Amino acid sequence: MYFSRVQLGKIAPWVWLSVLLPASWSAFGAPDKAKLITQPSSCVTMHQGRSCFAKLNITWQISEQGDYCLYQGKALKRCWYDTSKEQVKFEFEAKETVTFTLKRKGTNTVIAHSEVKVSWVHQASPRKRRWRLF
Amino acid sequence: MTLRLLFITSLVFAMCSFSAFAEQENSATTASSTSESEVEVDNTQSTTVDVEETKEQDFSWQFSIDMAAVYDPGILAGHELTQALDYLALSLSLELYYKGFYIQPNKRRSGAKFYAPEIGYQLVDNEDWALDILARTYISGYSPEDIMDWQDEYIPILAGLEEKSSGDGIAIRYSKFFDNNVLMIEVANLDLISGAEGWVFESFFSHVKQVRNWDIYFGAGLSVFSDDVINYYFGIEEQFATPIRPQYQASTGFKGELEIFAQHPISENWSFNAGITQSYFSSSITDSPIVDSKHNTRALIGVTYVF
Repeated sequence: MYFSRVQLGKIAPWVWLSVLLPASWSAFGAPDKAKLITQPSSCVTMHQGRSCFAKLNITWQISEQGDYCLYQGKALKRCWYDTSKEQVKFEFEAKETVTFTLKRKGTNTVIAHSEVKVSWVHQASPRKRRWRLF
Repeated sequence: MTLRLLFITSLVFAMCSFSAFAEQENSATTASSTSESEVEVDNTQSTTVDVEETKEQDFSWQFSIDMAAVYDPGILAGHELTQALDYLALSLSLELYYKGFYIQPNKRRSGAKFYAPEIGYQLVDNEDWALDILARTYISGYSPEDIMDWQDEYIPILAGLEEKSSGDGIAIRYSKFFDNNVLMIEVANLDLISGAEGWVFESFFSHVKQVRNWDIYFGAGLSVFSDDVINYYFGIEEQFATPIRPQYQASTGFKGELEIFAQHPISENWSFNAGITQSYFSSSITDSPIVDSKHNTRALIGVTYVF
């Protein structure tokens, strides 16, 4: 059995909402009312492929007190115990956009996430540029 | 001018022929270089500055506008920086690359005009060395009349001299890339597309150091000019000699340069630039009656907008 486009169109909007809303609610960790903020949220380097450096300030907050861990990509940055909000500063260095995630310790469920976008002034070029000033 | 256009057209056709011939041979190596470039990015790598380019692109372009305050007194006797515009510069810069062919500015220097571009073709483009054939400007020309008009004064040491066109040449350039360094050596002939006949040998070493998001370039160069070239720009022929401007016949000369240049991103489109270049000239140049300095200090501070 399959649904044609017309059949799908006949499904009432509230049915769609009832299916999709809980999924998105859960994905963004809304029940925990978690917030993860990275400042700055972008880092610019001169050339594509170069490391970008920034002094990063990360704050997070969650309604429920507990043990939480912060990840940079897949790498564990730090864990906190029996707390519901924290602030941490560290040196950021990356060549590409990095996602930070907050997870409850011992689980793989993302409670909140934020990213630091890495961009550049000059795109990578097939030419190996090296100009003189004058 | 017609001869120059004819020559450049012939050069482009020759490059096209070489490109078509080399394309088949290159196709195998392109496949291997593409697979090699698909490596996982390691975010833990620190301040090593890679030579930042990838090889799988056939086409790329970049257009930018430079706005800068520039100090460039030059070495010509009587030439002074007299107006605010002498210290300001606005430049448009186009960089194009297509399958080995390229047009690019050859200097970062800003001027109140389009950059004199470098047009070339990569004969060999390996990971650690390259060989190019190219056409570009080696020496700026000057017009004594224009200098006097701009300064709004009569300059006896320059008055009556002929206008000198820019020293454009056809060159072969060898580039060696290692770590964060580039060594470029090129030999250019100015006979074919320039009013100045003769030869130029140029070598330039550049090292880039990344300090956080700053790119700092350290450079040193040596240029050797044949006597024909020096005589065209700084020699005084008998018919142009005056009591304050004696006849002068030059020999082969050279110019040594040291420079530091720094760039820092402001946003994805804007960057801040600042640099200074110190040039030293040999006696065959500085002995000329129309040259009044043995060295020249040039500096630039400004911003670049990249589209």
